[in-house]
Amino acid sequence: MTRRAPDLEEVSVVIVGSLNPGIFHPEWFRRQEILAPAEAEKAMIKIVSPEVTEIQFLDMKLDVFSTRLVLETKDVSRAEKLQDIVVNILAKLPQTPVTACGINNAIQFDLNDESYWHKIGHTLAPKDLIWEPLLQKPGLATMMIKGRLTENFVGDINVTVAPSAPTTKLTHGLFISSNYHFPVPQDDSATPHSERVVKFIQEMWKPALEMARSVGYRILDQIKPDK
Amino acid sequence: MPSSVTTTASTSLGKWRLSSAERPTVVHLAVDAHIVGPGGTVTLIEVKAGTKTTPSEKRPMLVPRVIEQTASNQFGFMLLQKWDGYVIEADEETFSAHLIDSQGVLQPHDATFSRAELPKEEQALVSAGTPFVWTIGYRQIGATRERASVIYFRRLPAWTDREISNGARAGENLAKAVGWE
Repeated sequence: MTRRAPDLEEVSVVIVGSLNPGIFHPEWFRRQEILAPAEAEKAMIKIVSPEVTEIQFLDMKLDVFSTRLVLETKDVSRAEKLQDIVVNILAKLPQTPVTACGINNAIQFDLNDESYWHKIGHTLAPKDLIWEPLLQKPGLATMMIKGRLTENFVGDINVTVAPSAPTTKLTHGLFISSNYHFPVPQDDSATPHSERVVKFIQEMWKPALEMARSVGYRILDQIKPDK
Repeated sequence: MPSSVTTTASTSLGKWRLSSAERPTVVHLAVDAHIVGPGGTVTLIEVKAGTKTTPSEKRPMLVPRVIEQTASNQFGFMLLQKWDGYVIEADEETFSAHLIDSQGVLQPHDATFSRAELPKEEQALVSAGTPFVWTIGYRQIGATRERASVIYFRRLPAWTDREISNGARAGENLAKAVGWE
């Protein structure tokens, strides 16, 4: 059965560590052969400075601060390109101490049905036991469920379910995001094993990009609209 | 205890609102101020805490930055199908490839692509064994939606000496474990 595709989607990778924002210039990406010359030439620079860098290329947005790098795109046709860019950045900067990494995927479905939208919120977070005696018209604003990463990495999977924001123009939208969070293990001298991050990104990429979908499809399968 | 370090990005797909349509909308904007320029350009002044989406973040960076709202990176993509592929053989006009459904639902198959499907910078990367991704979906440009097929080659870093020697060692150990003569 062909599944309904999400109406909106976004992918991002967050690297937490000790970074030098000033080096992340499109020219650096070109010289390191992370971007093709034509791709680097088309990059848009908002700011490149020792404190903060923000550039855009290939419909991706890169933010770098001294403690955090975020590469994100709404063009999920290029999700693996984003993955390759992050892996290449880490490969070119092997001495960078990375203390945590997150692979994030956010999807949204336009339900276009107000009563179904409420039904999902009330099923995920029933209001009668606690909230109805205390609040008028209680509604689910956001729900985060945490699980554990398994296999070769110790970390968390954080899943958030919420109504879509008005800015999305989805009148009754369902927002689901997943965050595969990997705190990088450290040795006795508190030096992080940063080389594990590339492995984490490569091995957990697919499951990380499937989790939000799996949650979304399970919600839509298990909670049906009233006839 | 939950970690105080978050690795969630602030999603521009938006913050959430309350599920009752009659309630006032609460939007936790990361933007602190916006300035509308004479040409209608909106400049957003954002505090760096905007990159965190969880309340557990205790120490937001307070580096102001200016973000101009532009039409770029506003194009969403509704993903219908993704194939992981690798090139089997190539000639001047076409290349044939083996394709595996990224979600493992559809059967693997072979296909032939015209090189013209590729952007110029990607064409130089076509050679036997090269991995690539083929996505099919709808590209959303404002209120318009158009069918799109996107092919790009993976640009993975070269194997390091350490990875090669680790791989060789793993292969030797596997061969010994199998016990072949």
